[in-house]
Amino acid sequence: MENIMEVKNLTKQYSGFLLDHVSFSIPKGTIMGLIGENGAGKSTTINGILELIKKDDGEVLFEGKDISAGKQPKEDIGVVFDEINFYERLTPEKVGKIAKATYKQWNESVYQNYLNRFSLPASKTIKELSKGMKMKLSIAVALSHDPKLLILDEATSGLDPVMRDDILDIFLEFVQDEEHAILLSSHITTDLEKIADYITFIHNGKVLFCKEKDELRYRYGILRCGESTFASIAKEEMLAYRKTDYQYNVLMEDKEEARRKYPAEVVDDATIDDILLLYVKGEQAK
Amino acid sequence: MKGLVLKDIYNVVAHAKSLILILVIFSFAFQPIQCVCMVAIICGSLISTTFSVDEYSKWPRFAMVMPITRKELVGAKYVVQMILSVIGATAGLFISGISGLLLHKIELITEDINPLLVATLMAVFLSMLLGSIMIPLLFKFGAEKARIVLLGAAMIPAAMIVGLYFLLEKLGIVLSDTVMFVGLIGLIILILLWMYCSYLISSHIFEKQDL
Repeated sequence: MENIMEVKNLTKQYSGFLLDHVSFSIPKGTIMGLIGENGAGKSTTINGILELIKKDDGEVLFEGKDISAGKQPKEDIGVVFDEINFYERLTPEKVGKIAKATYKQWNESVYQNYLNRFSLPASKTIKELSKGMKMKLSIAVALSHDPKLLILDEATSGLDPVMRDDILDIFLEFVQDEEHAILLSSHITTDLEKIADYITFIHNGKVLFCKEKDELRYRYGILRCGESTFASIAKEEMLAYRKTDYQYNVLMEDKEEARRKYPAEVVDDATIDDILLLYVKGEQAK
Repeated sequence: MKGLVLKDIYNVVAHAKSLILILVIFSFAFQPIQCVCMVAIICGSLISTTFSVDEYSKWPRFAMVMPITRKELVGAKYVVQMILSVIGATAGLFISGISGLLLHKIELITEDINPLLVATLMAVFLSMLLGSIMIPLLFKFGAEKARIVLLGAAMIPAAMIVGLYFLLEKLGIVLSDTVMFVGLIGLIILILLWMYCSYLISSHIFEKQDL
């Protein structure tokens, strides 16, 4: 599959935090979920990709070319942050006029369609819109300049489940065209479980893994066992573990094999939340 | 750049409605020439409001994901400041002219109208001078922190004019029409040169900022 974006060794040093050679690729027609605890480096990664910060090392390629080469990549990338960045006294109508004067690829009829679809009143000020409506306005702007890639930084945070579901449907619709793709950073892992094709997990500024979501969901499992079984598990078999008061929770790469090998123990399916928690709060085995 | 200018104009208009009342009060309280200068400078200073609004909505971060370069964002601030200065001086001329005629401060004769037109032109450039002192400070410190520094910045053009006046007096140069004309042209050229330097300084500051 052809990649729409490749992030190679993205590095940024702050005092007390290092984004350490982050690399991953986003194939066309897919949704890449970026997960990690608060402060893990998700937003720094997105800021680095979008050149909002000066990176210390690394490169970002969009359709095989340096993302900073000219304005075309910015025409082709729609971005939604966790809050709207237009002043609250503006109206969706004026926001459209500003965007129209900025993007060569701006499509007014697409924008009007989204305003109608989202029931966004064109003449109400942003101040009068709910948080969900503001987010929908940001998404309408991002989708109305014919982007090939959407980058969403915590765009679904703070929305109620119904509104999140509506927005996730729009994202799925967007990637139906096999030329489009989405990079979605979120700490709401259930959203990613619903729509992501790949998951990149960033922890302490480093990429822990970049895998297909189905591999995580259908292969990974959590072995719940006592101390004696835990002691018998080879380090190579487990990815991470956490000791609670009564048992060990061990993240296993192959749950079926674990079930065969330890028939007396419970091996649960692992959600992305479970995986994140075990990596972040537990011990890494290898 | 058109989008950036449009955005700032929309934001200023949202804030500037109360200015109309001030403008009317000024036109009655002051002489027409004073009024034109003050209104132009007040309108030009609204550029700091655009910075406050941008900071509040984290606009620069979003602007940089749009097809806009950092240099264009900086350049747009100077264009907006120029537009505000011209609008301010023109509005000042219009209102102070009308109130001046109504209150018999001026008459519709060349001797009264010409100085008012020259003052309007100078008011535009003075406002632009002040703006080009303010803009690098606003980029460097942000709208909130730059407030105190800006008070000082506002004094610079005033001090320069007073200083120039005393210098001319000390050198015994009489302000004849020719001297005034040459002086005004020289001042305009100097202001334009300074504005270009100011743009380079602002670009340098903004280029380095993490957003």
